[in-house]
Amino acid sequence: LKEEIISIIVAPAMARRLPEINGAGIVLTGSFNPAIFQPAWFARQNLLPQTEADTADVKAIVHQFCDFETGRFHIQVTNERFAVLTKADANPAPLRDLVLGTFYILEHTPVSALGLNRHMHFSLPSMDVWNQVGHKLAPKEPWKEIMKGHIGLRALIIQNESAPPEGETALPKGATLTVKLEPSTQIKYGVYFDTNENYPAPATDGLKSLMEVVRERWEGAYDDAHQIADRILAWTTQ
Amino acid sequence: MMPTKSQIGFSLGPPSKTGKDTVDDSRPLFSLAPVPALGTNPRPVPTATSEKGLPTPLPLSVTIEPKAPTFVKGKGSALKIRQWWEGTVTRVTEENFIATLVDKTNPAAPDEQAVFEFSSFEVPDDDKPLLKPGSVFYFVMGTQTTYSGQVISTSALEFRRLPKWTRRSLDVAQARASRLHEWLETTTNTTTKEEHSSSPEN
Repeated sequence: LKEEIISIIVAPAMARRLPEINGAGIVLTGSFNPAIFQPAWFARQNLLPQTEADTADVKAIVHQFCDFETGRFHIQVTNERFAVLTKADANPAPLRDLVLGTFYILEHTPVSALGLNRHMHFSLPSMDVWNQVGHKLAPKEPWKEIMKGHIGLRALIIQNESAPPEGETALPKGATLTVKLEPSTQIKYGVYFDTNENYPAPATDGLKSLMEVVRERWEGAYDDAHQIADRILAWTTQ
Repeated sequence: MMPTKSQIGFSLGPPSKTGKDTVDDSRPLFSLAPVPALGTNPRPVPTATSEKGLPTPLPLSVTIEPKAPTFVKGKGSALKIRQWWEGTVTRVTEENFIATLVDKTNPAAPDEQAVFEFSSFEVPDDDKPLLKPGSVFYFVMGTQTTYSGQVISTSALEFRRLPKWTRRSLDVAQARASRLHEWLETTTNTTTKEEHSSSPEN
């Protein structure tokens, strides 16, 4: 599936440019009971260290909604959506462990889709280079004939759809990869990348299947997102 | 005639519900001066003349959707992860622990053996019970820029946390073990009988 989702020329890991701000998230859609997801519950289940749970910044825990932040994670759960983000620049592996552990315990949760997300802000050396990215991705000449005034790229979203290899049944069909690129509001002359690998749940064993995706694909999705951003920046800033 | 897939420049599939959300229309434009002030909303769109900006009457009942978690630069100095490893503890002594490290930043790199001296690598109190042979941890190395602009190298250890066994998981494991045991006994008995019946002495 990795090859099917996007074809990437593998760059040496150490040669890649590093994002100034970097984070990741895992999202599940389905049917959840938000009131369960309290810091104390995570600590009791051995999923968060007690100190981290004790010092969590709880914004709301009510019947329909739960929202709190710890030193490493931001957890938000509604009746339809479970989302965990790392704090900026946190190690991504504990996020995977947290999600796998949570739904190992809540094994009967009905789910409809899974998203493996990464967010990165890259800094560019000058305004000219920054503008060049926008021009390369969306050349302005044709637009100037249609729109008056200054024309700029606000956001670019590219999506593809996977075609699982024949005989491959372990992974859900219809997985998509979406890459979004925008000017950064966090970094001067910065570019923001947001990638989302979306996996719909199969009709049977939905949660089990999606947790298998988390287990097998998380590190690959995280790494591929970096490669995608690095390649786009290499191409557009040449 | 429909164009072939390779000629389609726009893809109009349904938006992903597991990504962050739709395009944030408060973001600035590329190649449109002035450069946005950081951390602000430099372009207050939509305008009053756009559809989104039209004033709407106050509804009698509303459901306020919570804002999806966003991801912003932390208040402290940010850590840039340059390399990270997954380690498995192989031995623990009074002064140190020894582990096998798998380089996750560069998977082609061979596994390494490393000694972590407690005097140099502090294991958080909450993680100390997890430190035993076989346990998995993550070792991160990176740089951090201080408020004065100085770049310093830094590293961190985090132990993997696994959930407690559930009653049901233990029951399932027990049932599987019993089935396997029965199957092994049956297979062994059948094989033994076949061996006896096919021996020349019989």
